[in-house]
Amino acid sequence: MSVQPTRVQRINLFQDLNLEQCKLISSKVEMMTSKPHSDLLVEGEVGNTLLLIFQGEVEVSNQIMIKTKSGFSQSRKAIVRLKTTDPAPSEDPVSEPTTFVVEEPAFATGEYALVSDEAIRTANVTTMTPTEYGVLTFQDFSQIVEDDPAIAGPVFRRVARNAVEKVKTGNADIANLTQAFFYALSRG
Amino acid sequence: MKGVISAPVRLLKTRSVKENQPNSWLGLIRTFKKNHRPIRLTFWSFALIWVGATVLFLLEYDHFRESVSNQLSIIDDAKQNSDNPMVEMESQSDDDQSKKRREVGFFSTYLHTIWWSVTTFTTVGYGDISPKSEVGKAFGIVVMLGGFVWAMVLSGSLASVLVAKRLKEDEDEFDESIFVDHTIISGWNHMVAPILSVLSREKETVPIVLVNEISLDDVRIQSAISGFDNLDILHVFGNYTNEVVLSKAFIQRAKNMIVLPDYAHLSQIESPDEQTTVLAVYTAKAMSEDLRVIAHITNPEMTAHLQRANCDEIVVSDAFTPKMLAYHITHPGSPQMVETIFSPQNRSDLQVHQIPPILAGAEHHRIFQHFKHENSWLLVGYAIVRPADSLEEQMKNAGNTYVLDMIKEQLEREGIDLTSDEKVFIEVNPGDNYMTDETHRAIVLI
Repeated sequence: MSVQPTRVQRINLFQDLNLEQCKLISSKVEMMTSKPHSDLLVEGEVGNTLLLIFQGEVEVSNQIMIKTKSGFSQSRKAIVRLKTTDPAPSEDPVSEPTTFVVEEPAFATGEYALVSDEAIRTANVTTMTPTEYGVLTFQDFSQIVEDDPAIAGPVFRRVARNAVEKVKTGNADIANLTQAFFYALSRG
Repeated sequence: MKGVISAPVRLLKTRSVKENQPNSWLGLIRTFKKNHRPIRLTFWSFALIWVGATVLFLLEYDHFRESVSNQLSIIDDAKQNSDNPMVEMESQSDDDQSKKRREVGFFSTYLHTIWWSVTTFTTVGYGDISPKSEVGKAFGIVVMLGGFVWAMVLSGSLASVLVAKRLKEDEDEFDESIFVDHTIISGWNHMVAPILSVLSREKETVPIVLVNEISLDDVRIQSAISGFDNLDILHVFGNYTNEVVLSKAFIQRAKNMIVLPDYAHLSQIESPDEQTTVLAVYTAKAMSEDLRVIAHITNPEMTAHLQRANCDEIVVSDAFTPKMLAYHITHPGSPQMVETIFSPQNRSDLQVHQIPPILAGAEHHRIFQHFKHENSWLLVGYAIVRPADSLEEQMKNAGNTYVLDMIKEQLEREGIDLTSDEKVFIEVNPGDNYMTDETHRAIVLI
């Protein structure tokens, strides 16, 4: 079963492609479904697949070490929830969001897999509702680009823009953490 | 309530004592004896009187019996003469008198021996009866000396009970609820009295707690605190780097604390240990983060240590002396002006006042004109009271929200405020269009 090109075009990464180009992509996308509370991506694992979330709500989280009353422990910290609007999730999420929810027609996640077949996952992606999603591998996308090199430019530009934004935010996080570190030292 | 409240340390110690309740009659008696020393001593006094009387009774029975008999006979004769005044005693022979002598028994003699013992023990000593034998006199000496010592111990004990009662009354009168937003002056030197003098001139005074290692009845303390009837002054004796001592100064509820170089046990030519000042600031800030600590040091090298201890304000002795000396040459008049402004005798003063609400957020020139026309005061600048650092302020609008939330959550869990203590920043003679806000206070020359 393949996905309709129009659904592929709703995804941010492929918005600059025409329907013909989206058709090429949709032909390579393997459609899958998942129940709530399933890990689609696991932080730290190596992967070569891009996930296209067509329907459902997923939570993006990071594994972090925090200090609790009983000492240091690993904890999953929710970063953001991604919720599709076209179509909306078929059910309510299994838990209420503890962070903000981004709503878009459809999402792509794990986009670094489009530029590397050994991309390390930078976050966990967990389903919160029954989720319909597609999988596009690095190899398949490389083949598509070979077949139609015009696809590469718009898609990689989007990937690069997202990467730049993430680097910018990451730098700000480092600056904040450094400030907090010295602040805590001076106050402690 | 205004005045000096004494010996709170002792009072607080008394409060912390919790007696165990006795659970038997024997325990009750023991507790009673333990808590009532004068009564215990009185009990032993009676016991010693009784022992003394018994021993003397055994040693001097014959003599005491005769002595008692003589006395009672004289009383009988006196009674008889008063009933029949015609009878003349001179006409009676010695034989008649011996016949008339009252026979006294065992009980009466013993009673009179006790009488002797009591008069001797209490150092009254009527001398109506006394031991005659050598052994009796020797024992009498022991009883007399013992009685003298015992009387002193007993009176001392009674005095201590009265003092304790007075202290308890002081404690009952001591209202610690007034010690809120008060000022602590820790350490001791000649500046305590002038500081109190300045603080006492305020319209709304706050209670003061002096913490030092000088006894309240020391003439230095008494002369320093005398004359400030409008101040509530509490004296806490002890080491002001000690948390227990500072707790007794209600440091958690205090607003300001001045830490002085401590000359309590030094002469003015000796140098105080200023590491004590740093330690006091560390301790005070650890006990009360919101407390505003103003430290006075004589060695500028200690400034860095005090800054690390989060000391809010640091006053260094002689910091302005070089400039004052040089300005006497380069800008004659300027140092004299400073001296005039800060001289206690002079009417001129540099004070900080609230900006009227009507001028909230106004430009500098408007506020300047207001003070000039309304009060004839010269607005020379602003004291701006705001937090020195605000991590939240520095981190806003940058980075992942979840990272910011995590930082805040972790720091708050560790009890670290995201905003530091308020500090005073100074803006001197700003431009006419300088904008003020609610953090600004006007510094005016009066």
